Amino acid sequence: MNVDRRPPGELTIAGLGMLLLGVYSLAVGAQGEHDGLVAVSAFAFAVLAVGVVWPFVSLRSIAIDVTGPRDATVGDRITLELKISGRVSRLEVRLLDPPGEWRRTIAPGGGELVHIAARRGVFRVVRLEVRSGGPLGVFLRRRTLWVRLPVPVTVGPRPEPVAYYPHALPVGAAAALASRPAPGGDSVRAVRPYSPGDAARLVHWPTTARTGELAVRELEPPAITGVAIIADLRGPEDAGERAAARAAGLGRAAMRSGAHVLLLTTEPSGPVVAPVSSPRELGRRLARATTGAPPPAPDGWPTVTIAAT
Amino acid sequence: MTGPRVSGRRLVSPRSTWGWVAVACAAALAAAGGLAASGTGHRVVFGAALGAFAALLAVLALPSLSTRTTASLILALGGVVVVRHATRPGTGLTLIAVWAAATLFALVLIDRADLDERPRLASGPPLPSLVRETATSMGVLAIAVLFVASLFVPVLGHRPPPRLGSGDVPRSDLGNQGNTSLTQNDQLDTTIRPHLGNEVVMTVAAARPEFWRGETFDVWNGHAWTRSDDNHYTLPSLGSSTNLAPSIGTPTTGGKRLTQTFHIEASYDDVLFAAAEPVSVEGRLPVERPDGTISTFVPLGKGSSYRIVSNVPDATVDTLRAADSTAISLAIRSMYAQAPVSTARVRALAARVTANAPTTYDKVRALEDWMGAHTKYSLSAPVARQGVDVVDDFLFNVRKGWCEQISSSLVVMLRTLGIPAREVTGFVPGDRSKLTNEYVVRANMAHAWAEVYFPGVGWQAFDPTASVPLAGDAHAPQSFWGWVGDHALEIGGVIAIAGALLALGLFLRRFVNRRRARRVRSWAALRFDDLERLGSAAGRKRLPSETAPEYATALARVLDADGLRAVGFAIDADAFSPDGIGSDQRAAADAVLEHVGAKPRGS
Repeated sequence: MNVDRRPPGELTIAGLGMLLLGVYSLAVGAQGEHDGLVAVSAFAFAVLAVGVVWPFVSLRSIAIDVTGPRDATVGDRITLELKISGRVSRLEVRLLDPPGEWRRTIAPGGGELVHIAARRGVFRVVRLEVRSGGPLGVFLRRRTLWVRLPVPVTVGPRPEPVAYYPHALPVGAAAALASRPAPGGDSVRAVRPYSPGDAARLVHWPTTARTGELAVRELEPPAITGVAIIADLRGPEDAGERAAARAAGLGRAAMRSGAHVLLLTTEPSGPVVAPVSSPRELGRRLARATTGAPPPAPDGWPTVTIAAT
Repeated sequence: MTGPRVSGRRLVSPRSTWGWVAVACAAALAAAGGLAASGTGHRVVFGAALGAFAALLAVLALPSLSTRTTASLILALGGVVVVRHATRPGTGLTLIAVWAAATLFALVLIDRADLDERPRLASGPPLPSLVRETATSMGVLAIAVLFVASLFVPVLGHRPPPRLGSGDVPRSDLGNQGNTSLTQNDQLDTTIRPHLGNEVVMTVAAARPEFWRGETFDVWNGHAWTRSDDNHYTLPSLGSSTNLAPSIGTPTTGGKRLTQTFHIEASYDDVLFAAAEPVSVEGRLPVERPDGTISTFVPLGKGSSYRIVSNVPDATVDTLRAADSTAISLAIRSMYAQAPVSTARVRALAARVTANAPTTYDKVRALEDWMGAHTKYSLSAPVARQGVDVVDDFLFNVRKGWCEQISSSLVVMLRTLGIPAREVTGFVPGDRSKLTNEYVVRANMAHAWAEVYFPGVGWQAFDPTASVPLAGDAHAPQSFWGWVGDHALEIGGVIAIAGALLALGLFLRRFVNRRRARRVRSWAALRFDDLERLGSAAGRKRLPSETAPEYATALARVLDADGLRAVGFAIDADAFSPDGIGSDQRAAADAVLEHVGAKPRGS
C-alpha cells in the first residue's frame, strides 16, 4: 500500500506571520501587564488554531466519486467526471499520476477534469489530491484520495506506424477462421448457366451472346490473409512500451488490409492467444499485456514477433 | 485580469477581489497606524490615514511581489506595529479590536481572492458570491476566533501571584533614580521639574482604585515641603503581619477595609505605598512615621511584594460638611493648621474665594473650583525663580504648573484659613488590567495631592489637579458604558460561548431534521414496497429493470387483479410529478392493494 509521506499540510505566509506575531507579542508582553499584547497574542494564536483546525475538519468529510471513459489511448486527453460530496466552500482538486493543474470548486458539487492518459494499462483507481486553506488561508491542508472507478479505464498504446505485407493463411487455419461465406475474388474459375438468384454483374456476356443462353461467371474465393502478432514486452520499460506501440500499429495496419489478427500476449492471468477483430479490442488486449513470456505462435500462421529491445 | 503589466505582475484592479483585499489591509494598517500615532502623541487620524494609504499603495501597485505575499506582509507589518505600540500608555483595546477584525477580514478575502485566480473545475458549480460567502465566513469565524481567544487569554495573561517579600536585589543605580516617589525624601522641592518615564513601577491588586500614598509633608517654606516630625519607629511584628499604630488624627472607628497587594516592578523602592490609612503590613517589616506613612529599612527590588490592609475613610459630602461641628485636636491643629509661609495676596485670595463657603468642605471645593477656572496644568510651565514664593508665583503670575504647584497652592491657602491640611506624594491608582484586574502603575503616574483633616472622619484626599471623587463617593454607580468597557473581555467570552452554543444547537437541529427526513418515506416509496411484498408472496419478484407501472402490470396478470395496473401508474405519478397525486387517488390505490391483500402500510 502506498503511503503518502508528505506532511498533511503547510503553513502559508499568512500563517507563519500569525505564528511569529503570536510568539513576538507573547515575548514582548511576558510580564503580563499589557492587556493589548495579551489580546494580540491571543488573537494571533486563535486565528492560527481556527485556521489550522478548520481545513482539517472540512476536508475530513470530503468524498469523491469518479467516472471516466472505458477506453483510451496513451496521450489522449480523457475527461473524468467528478462528483464531490461533503461541505467545503473553498476547495481545490487535481489529479495525480501525473500531477495535473489545480482546479477550484466547492463541495457538494462536481465537474470534469481533463487528464492526459500518460501510460498504458488498466486503471481501476485514480489518485486525486484535494486541498483547502479556507476560510482563513493560514494553513493549507492537503489530502490524497484513492478513488475506485466503477468501470476501469483501459489505456491502450498509441499505435506506431508499421508496414504490413499480407500473407495468406494456410487452408486449415483459414477454414477455422472463415465462419461466414467468403466474398468472391476477382479470378474467374468457370462459366455456367444462369440460375435464379445470380447477381447480374456476374453475367458473362461473351458466352451468353455465343450460346444465346444466359451464362454467369464462377469466381475463385479470395485468399485469407492473417498475421499472428507476438507482443513480447520483456525488457526495459521504455522498450516494452515501444513494443506495445509497434504491435498496435502492426495490428491496425493488418486489420485495415482485411487480414485476420491473432494477438499473443501475457496478461496478469497468464498467456493469452486470441484473435482481435477491432482496433478497440486490440487496444484493450495490449493495455492488459504485461512483461511475461508470450505463448508460442500457432502452427501455420505467419508470425511477427515484436520484442522489447 | 486587465491592466498594465509592470515587471512581474499586473497592477491589481480595484474592482477585483484583490480590491477588497486592499480595503481590508488598509483598514488593518489604519488601525495599527492610529495606534502608533496615539502612542507617540500624534493625531490618530494622521496615523490611520498614513497606514491606509501605505497599504492601498502596496497591495494595489507594488509590482515586485505577488499580491498575496504583499497583502500578507502588510498584515504582518500591521501586527508588528500593534505589538510595538500596545505597551504604550493610553492604548485602548478599541483600536486593537479594529485591527484584529480588519486582519481577520483581510485573511478571509486574501484566501478567496487567491482562489478566484485559479481555473474552475470544468462544468463545475461557481464559487458562492463573494459578499455572501465572506459575510457568512466572517460571522462564524468571528465567533470561533473570539471563543478560542477567550480560552487563550487566561493562559497567556496568567502571571503567577507574587510571593510576599521575595524579589531581586534592589539596585538604586538602575532606571528610577529620577523617580523620587519611590525613595524616601526629606523634602519635596516644587521648583524641580519631574522627568518621569513610562516604565511600570508596580502593580496593585486591590478591590477598588485609591490613591497609593507614599509620603506627606507639612512644613512649607515658599518653594519646598519638609516634615516637622521626621521620626521613624519600628513596630513589633506578630507572625507574618505587622499591625501599625494609629497615626495622629486617624479615627479608630468607621471606614472600609481595603486589602492591597503591591508587586514592585521598579529596581529600587523603599517607600511602602498604601491607601490611606494603612493598619497592617504583611511581607515587609515596616517603619512608621507619625503621619501614618510607612517605609522600610530594607529596600525592595524588582519582584518584591507586600500586602497592606487599609481602613479607607468612608466619607460623604454630608459627613464632611457635618465634621465642622467636631472640635479639632490640639495636636492636629499645632502640626497641620499653622499658617505657612505665604504672601499677603495669597491669604487675601483664599479669604476672598472662600468668603461664601460655610463649611470646611465647601471652602476646599471653592478653592478647587477657583484654581480649575484660573489655572492650567502644564509640565512645561516655567520654574519659579530663586527666592520667589512658588504658590504666589503660580496663583498670580504664571497660573500654569504641575501637580506639585497646584496641590501646594491648595494646601497653603487652606492653611492660611486655619484648616489642617498637608501635602501628599504617591501614585494615582493606575490603569486597571482587564485580564488580571490589577492596577498597573507607571513611573509617570507619580502624583502630588492634598489631604485635609476632618475631625471624626480623618484625612481626606483632595486632588485639585484633576477631579477626584471623595472616598465615600468612589463607589457611586458606574455608567453603563463604563461597566461595558471594564467587562469587555467577559462580555466577549459570554457572547462567544453563546454563539458557539447557538451554532451547536442549529447544527444539532439540522442533524436531527435530516435524520428525521431520512426516516419519513413517501407514499410512493411505501406503496412500491407493498407491491414488491405482494409480488414476492405471489412468487413474482420484481426485476431490477422494472418500473412501478411495468411491475404492477405484470402482477396484475399474475394475480388476475387488473386494478393493480392503476396502482403502478399512481405510484409513478406520485413519485415523479411535481405536486404528487391527490388524496383521493392515493385512497383508491390503497383500496386496490387492500383488496388484493397487500395490507398497505402507513396509510
